[in-house]
Amino acid sequence: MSNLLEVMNLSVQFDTYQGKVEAIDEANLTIKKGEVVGLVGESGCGKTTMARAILNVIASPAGKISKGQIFFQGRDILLMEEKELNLSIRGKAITLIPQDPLSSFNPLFSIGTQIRDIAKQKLLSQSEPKRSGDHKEEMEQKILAMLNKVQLPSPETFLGRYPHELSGGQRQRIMIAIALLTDPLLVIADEPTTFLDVTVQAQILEILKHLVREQYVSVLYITHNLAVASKISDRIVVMYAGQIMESAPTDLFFANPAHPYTRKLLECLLSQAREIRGIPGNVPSLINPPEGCRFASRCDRAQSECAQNRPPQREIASDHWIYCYNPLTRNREQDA
Amino acid sequence: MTTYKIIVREFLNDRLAVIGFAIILILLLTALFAPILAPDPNAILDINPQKKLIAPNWEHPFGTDHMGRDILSRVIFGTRVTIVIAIIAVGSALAIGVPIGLIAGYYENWLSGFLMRISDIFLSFPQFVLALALAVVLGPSIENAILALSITYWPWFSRIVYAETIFVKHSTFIEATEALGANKFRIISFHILPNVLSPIIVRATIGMGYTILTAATLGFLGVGAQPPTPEWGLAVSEAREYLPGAWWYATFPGMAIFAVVMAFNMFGDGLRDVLDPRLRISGK
Repeated sequence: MSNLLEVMNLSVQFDTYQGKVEAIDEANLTIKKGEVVGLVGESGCGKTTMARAILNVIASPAGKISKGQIFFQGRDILLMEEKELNLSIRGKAITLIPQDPLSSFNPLFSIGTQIRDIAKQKLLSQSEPKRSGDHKEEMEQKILAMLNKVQLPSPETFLGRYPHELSGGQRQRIMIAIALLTDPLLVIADEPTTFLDVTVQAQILEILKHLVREQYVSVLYITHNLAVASKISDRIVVMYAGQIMESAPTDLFFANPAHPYTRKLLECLLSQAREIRGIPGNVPSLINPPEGCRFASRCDRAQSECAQNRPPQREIASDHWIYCYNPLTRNREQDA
Repeated sequence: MTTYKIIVREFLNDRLAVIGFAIILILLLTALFAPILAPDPNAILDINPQKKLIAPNWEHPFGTDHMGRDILSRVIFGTRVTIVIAIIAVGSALAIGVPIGLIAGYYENWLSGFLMRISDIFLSFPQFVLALALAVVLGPSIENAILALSITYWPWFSRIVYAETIFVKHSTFIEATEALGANKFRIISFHILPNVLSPIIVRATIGMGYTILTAATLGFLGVGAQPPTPEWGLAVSEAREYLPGAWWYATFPGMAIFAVVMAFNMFGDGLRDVLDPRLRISGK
């Protein structure tokens, strides 16, 4: 498998009245073709910022990408012209499944109007847009087929409805359909199941998993829920306060978490811990954040070095990357 | 579509708004058919000194003025002046204010600060005083009154549109649209504008009434319409000398102003209640 997306040394900053917020600090992230990567982290750790950075839609002028490169199929997205990005990347090769499916539709237009508009912009633009007659029919078929795939019963009836007339699950299915409509290479799913209850969450996850395998697309699945991430991902990447902490294949991640933060995070899970232990302390302020590892102040394995210098990226096992001076290399069971 | 049926039904339940709408409709029809409706089609220019200041009777239901002209006819012709003033003034205020509000709200950078500060400068003067000053400087004429009204009224629109645009801009669906690769023009005109349209429509409707009132006041003070234009405010001004004897001279043009301004306000209020996007549902 070759790398579809390579985020290198990415830093994103936001100007606020309190000062500069370093939302992402020199992050590296790789997604291979057909791979599902789960990006896990607490609220406010920079997951959604990462998603927006990959599409280069960081809200300006407050936010800006201050450093780094984002290679997509070998080309740096950050160097591309806005026009090319709009035409061939955003909503085409890379699509986004947004977090909140209600407010992600324009409330004034029916679902059908919005899907058809996207299809018209994204499916017709590259080839002959003039051959509209049979193209339109083709487009309509494709939309209905896609809605069928996300298991909406009798999709025709949904096209005439307005967003607020649908349930959360229905809206999220439609969002998934839109994201996969253009045969993208990479789908960024930004906590798509957060607003749904567990049963619907499971269904949506199944649908997404199935379609992803079927269309062989890569997915960046952003979530704060480790259980969800473990179900869908081939690899899990952990983020904390804007820094990547650990990246490992899913089985290895749960069997042998090496970063102290990952370890603590797993202890917060209900099924993992014999007794639930929180992580003492608080997430550091991202305004003038600590120099070194941002977890250092809460880490019980921290040494003086941790607070001063950012730990370099280290591969401790095949495809198991970690940013830590003092990782837990032993098996977790033994350690406990 | 059923959406519109619901909007119409809701609107019809609002009695005041319907009355307002009816008066506006009568105003428009009167303006359109003024030459046919007016008992004396020559009442704008003709002078009949022998018929001056006749009290209302069957021949002159609203009486005659100091030049012996039929007041009913002049009130009827006055509808045209009023509508032209209202539409041009509010129309140009919309044309200036709405794009400025959209651009300033969407970009949120130095440009928006600049545009909004200009709006603030205009808003910091009492609008009527500013319009009066402009009308005096430009010279008394109906065109200059319209110009003064447009120049002083656009900041109201830019302010409202600016605030609404910022609100809509930060909603998730605009972020989703950006992530889909829609360009800025498309986002502003197809996604933000329709979502900020309701307050614009409501403000414009109420603004019509306000503009008519201000234009009448400018006419009354002698810096708006000039004789022999059958403008209502001017008529009230001319009638002052003949009060209280010729009460009909000031009363009927004054009542026309009152009715039209009130109609626009009631209609605007009704529209505001009805133009809630959440009323929209799909057709069966």
